[in-house]
Amino acid sequence: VRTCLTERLVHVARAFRRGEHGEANDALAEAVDALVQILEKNPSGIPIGEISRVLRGAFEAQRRGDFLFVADCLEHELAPLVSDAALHADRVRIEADEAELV
Amino acid sequence: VPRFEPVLAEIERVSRPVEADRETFVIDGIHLTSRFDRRADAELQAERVPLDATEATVYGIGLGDLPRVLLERLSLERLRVVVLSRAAAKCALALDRRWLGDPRVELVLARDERSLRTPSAVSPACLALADDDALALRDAVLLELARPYQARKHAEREPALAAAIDHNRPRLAADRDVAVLFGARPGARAAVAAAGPTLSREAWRLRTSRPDLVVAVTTALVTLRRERVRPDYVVVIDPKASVLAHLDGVDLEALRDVPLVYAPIVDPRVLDRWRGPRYAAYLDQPRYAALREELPRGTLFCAGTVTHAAIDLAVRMGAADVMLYGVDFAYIDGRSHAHGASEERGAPRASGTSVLDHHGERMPSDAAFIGFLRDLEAYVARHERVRFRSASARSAKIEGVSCEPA
Repeated sequence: VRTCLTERLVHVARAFRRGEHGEANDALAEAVDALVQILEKNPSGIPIGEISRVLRGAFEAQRRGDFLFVADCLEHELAPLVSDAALHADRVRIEADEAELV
Repeated sequence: VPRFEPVLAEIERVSRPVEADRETFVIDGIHLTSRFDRRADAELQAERVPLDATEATVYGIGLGDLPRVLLERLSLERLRVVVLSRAAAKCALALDRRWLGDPRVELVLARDERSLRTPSAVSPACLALADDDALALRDAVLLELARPYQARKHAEREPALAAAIDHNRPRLAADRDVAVLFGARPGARAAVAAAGPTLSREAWRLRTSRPDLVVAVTTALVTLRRERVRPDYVVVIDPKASVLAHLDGVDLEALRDVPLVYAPIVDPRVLDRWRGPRYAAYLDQPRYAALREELPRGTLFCAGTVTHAAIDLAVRMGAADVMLYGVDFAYIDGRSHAHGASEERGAPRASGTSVLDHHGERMPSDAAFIGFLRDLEAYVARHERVRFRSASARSAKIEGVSCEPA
């Protein structure tokens, strides 16, 4: 799910970079909804404070029409955070599986 | 580069603070490119130009990456670079102007461009930073970029609209044809009351200096009622159920003899609630083509807003002079609509676009408003014999519309 979200964030960022703001704003709202759902379900390993900081910056930029900054926030800051969190969750799951096997 | 001397001289004259941020620069809070990967940004934007294109246009220089990426294409024989923001161009050319020496490059100001060219690529930051004399072209670029999105949105709505037309078919067959009103008020001095924020301040004029004909949209009814202004005709075309709320707080019994002109996509409950006579109209959109054959009805111009249809009704009825009230196409004092209108909302979180009012001041707007504004300008240009005026200097400046309060 998180890998999928990472792809969605990059997709949104690319729409902002192309100047397709209607598409981008809609897709951003959907991506943020998906992120919130993930945070609500399983916050373990997700740096919520860092994600909030990045999102705040992105929304401020969106308000002033600084869409390339929004794209950077999503693609170069938020997507790696989500991706790292997914890797962390996988590692925790693998370690748990190994412990069970032992 | 001597051949660009006049354009470069204009660019050099601007002076705006510029800040650095990682790989890029910032003007008025707008990053000119990505902070992380300018080249990737430019390559993505360049994808709008087919690889085998021999000619292309670039709208906005950004930091020069986009024209440079396109000039790497050997098949490109001519690249027209249109300056939307002199401040951004000055920043870009201070960093690197060698690409200007490429004989394939033409450098022009947006002010001197008459129409949109294709294929083209766009530097989005320059849309946000566009100079006042570039706003018309900036809007054309924005609308072109939004076209696929708008088409998809319209396609999504089409099944619901078809269902609404089916529901309204008996009403459509029984109600009068708007065409019988066409030509009914030759030479009239008319007013069209839309529900932009300035209607709140200006509606009283309709009471003290009443024109021959007042056409209102349903959204404006609450404000008109507060000012004790009674419209002669009311127009509704919006399929949303929220239109029902336009009638809340309106004494519909007092409007018993006021006709409602409607498009058959309107929520049937709105039509059933109206006490006065009803006139059916089609809009100049493809969805009505088949229906028009079966049940012929007059057609009103509409490129997305009921305001267009209301103005066209006044014009088709014969108005020679149309005063526009609340036709603002901007967020004024942070509001979208007249005070108390049920659709009233604050300025959107993400806008980044603006229009000029009649004082030349920038007013926050959005892509939809800008589309409505430019389509109305084209309509006004097609109706040379009608005098169009705006009741408020704070409304968006519409080409061909003078500001002469009543």
